[in-house]
Amino acid sequence: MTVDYEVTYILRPNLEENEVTERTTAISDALKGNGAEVLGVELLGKKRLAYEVNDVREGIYAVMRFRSDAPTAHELERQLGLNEDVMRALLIKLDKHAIAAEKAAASAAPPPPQA
Amino acid sequence: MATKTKRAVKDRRPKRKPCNFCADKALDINYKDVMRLKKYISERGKILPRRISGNCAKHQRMLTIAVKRARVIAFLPFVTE
Repeated sequence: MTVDYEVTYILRPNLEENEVTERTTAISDALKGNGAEVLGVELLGKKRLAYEVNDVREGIYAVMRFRSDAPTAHELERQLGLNEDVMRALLIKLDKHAIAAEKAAASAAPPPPQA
Repeated sequence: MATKTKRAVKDRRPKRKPCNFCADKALDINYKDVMRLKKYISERGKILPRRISGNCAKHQRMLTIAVKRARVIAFLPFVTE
């Protein structure tokens, strides 16, 4: 059974732009390799953190949506935890309302939300 | 009869605030919508109770989850000194 998931992760702020794309593609490729369907990756860019993580106050945010079975999603969560460049990761399951809201937001205004 | 009037005065409650999320017909409260969530946390970073925010039970539950998720990815603070 496949479920829609969304994972938000924070990359170290001292990465160069090309390094960021490298990391995000590596993460989505690893997921595809495990049989998941990647629905989209969105870079929210560098943002100020609400509290200090790993002694830094900034982070590069990335949001990825994908469709897979539960073991694949949990494996991704584990891998993100082991990844040195990922400071934080949050995996959530998207319910039908979240998907609908996401779609409505995407069609209404493409620019990323909030500061 | 005097007791009845007295009681009526005692039972008077402040007007129930309307739920902001119901007004928007919100079906989902997104943890990435920091600007919106910020309105429902105190200066110390605590989630405001329904008593203060005026949210309905359903939306307060959704809000709580959204705030907690936002804290995990450092969009919102766990504590503010």
